[in-house]
Amino acid sequence: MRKLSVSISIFFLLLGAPFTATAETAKLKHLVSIYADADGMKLQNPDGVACQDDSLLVADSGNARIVRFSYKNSTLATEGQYPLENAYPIVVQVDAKGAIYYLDGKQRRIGMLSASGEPKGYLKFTGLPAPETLIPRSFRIDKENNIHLLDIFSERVVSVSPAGNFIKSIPFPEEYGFFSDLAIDQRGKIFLLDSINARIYVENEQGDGFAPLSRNMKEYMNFPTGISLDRNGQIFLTDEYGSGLVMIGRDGSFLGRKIGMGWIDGLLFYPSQLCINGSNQIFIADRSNSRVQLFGLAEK
Amino acid sequence: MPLMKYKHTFAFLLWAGIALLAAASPARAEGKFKLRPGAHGKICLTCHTEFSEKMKKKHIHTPLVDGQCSGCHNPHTSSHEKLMATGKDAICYQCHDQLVPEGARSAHKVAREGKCVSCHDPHASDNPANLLEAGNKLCFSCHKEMAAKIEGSKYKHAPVQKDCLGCHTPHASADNEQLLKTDVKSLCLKCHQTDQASFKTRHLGYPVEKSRCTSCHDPHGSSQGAILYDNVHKPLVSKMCNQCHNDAQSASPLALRKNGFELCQGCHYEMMNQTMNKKRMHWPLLDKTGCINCHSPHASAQSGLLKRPMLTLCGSCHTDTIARQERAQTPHPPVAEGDCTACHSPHASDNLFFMNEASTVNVCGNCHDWQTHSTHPIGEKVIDPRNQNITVQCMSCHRSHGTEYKHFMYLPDTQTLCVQCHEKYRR
Repeated sequence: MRKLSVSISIFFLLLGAPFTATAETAKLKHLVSIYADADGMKLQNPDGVACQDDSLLVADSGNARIVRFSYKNSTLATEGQYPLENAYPIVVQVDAKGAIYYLDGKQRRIGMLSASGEPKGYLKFTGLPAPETLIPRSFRIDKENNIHLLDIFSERVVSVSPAGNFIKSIPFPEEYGFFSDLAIDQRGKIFLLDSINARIYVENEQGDGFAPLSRNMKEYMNFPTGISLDRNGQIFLTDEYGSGLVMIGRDGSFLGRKIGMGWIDGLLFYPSQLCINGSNQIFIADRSNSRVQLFGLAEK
Repeated sequence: MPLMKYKHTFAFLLWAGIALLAAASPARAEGKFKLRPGAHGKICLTCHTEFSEKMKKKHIHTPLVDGQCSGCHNPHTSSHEKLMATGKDAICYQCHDQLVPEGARSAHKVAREGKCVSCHDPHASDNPANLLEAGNKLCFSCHKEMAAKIEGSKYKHAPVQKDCLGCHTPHASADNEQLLKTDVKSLCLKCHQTDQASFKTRHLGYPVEKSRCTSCHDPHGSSQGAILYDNVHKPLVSKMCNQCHNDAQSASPLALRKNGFELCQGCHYEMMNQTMNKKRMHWPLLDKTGCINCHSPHASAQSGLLKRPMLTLCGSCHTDTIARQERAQTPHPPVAEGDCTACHSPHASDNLFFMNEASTVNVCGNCHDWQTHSTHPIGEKVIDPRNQNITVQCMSCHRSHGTEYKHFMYLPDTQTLCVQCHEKYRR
């Protein structure tokens, strides 16, 4: 039995090794930059991106609209653009059925659009435990279409069903700087990004709290505000004030920085949200360059 | 038998010889520098005669008393100035290695950096602990602003007049901030009796002895009565503590009636309404702590009831931005002077980076006259050749919080910067 367990451990160690090597030797290749929709309307300071395997949604903040692009055979095409009334979308998400959710930075509420872009009002919560005030700084949608909100006012992550029915809440850890974003891995674990301390927290095994995954990584980055995970569980951060992409291992170790500050294609200027599709392609809302950039992640 | 007799004599002589040699050795070679017998530091003083005056002072550094000049200096050669045995910032720590405990909550910058001679004379002084000056005079030689404030205060705090070391420890504090000897509350309660009726009346019956006195009172003195900080929140002036806190007789009198901005918007509704309608929110304003992330709810030495001077306050989260300014070859005056609101709206804004105006050119134009600074075309109609979606403005070439290059340019020299757009001039 002991021999079997040792063999299993060695097998998993060997299995894990290529992933680690992938992370450390990964190379980013700029694939395309999106500057406008098919009608020529330029993006303006887009803050949010959400991707599925064959589509991309952009929270075109400055134009107060959501733009949907199809992404098939390495070709991007505009599928639709959905203007929002009296709103300023800063985070966007899409569920498995294609329905669109966005965080309205002006009203601090979650707005909803159908898959075809029709307005569906704002998400209303039922059964929310006290305190009643909920102010979402960011949110994510998991594989079951449940919505997880980073509630900075009541210092918790609140999970609700697509209809807004309360499922659970997890309190923030006791000590932290400020949480700007969250992410969910393939197993449904929630990760929090502390921008002030450049530190990542992960939901504990019991699912009732958060524990530090990384140490303070301020020496490697300035002020990260976006977090996303690829299918292998590797973590990517957008360093907003440092204008770069940061790669973090599954164990929370710093693996390296990619992309520098600048204005030409392939460089970033105060990026915000990012997303990673199933083909390990990274979309970054290159906010102050008023564009979205797509990078391919490959081994060297 | 005679042989045995000689054997004893030989053994006696051998041991006596060893004992004599052992006794003579130190006399022949004083320490590692093999000084002449009995020389110690005296031999140094034969040339360094000015030290004879030093030796007359009341307090002499122990190695000097013992004549151990070579404890700190190498008499022959050194890579350090004044023939120091190690770097001047490390030499004191060779003996005084416990002055700044590892993980200390606060440490005096000069002590942490080993700049001990800023306060101490390494040889001798008429002041205890070889201090350069006695009492507060020494502290005030650096902390000039504090000295001026204490001097100018209408209402003075007696212990401060006496000695800074009444409350502060000079090197490091293992458990307390601001080099305090103990926590704030314990320090104050050493002198102030909180069980007296007058104390309770003055504080409207609130159990303030359980809280931090320095959230209202300026321990260094003030021009406000009761040494409250110079800027006092209106409800405190009018003794309306229960506008924010529960009633004094309630079970939890110090608890707040509401959390975060929800409490403050009861009075500051106009400001909050304006803020809440903006597109981009400074998010800490909306967390559980809310307004008091940045503002002191009772009283403050800073205008606008800011908790700390603006540069320190903003820099407590935006460390990278402030650090960049500190490294910058050309400091940007508003940042260097801590006037962050010269360009930014700290609560919320409709503009990127919480700028006061939509156009960066206009923000910069408040101080820099356009066309006198540069004749380069800038503005909403000038497309940036590097990126079709943005226009050329001040931040196209300059990073306002500074870079490692002159004039806070992004790139090391003008040529490298200009050819980013003007490609035909690339070499």
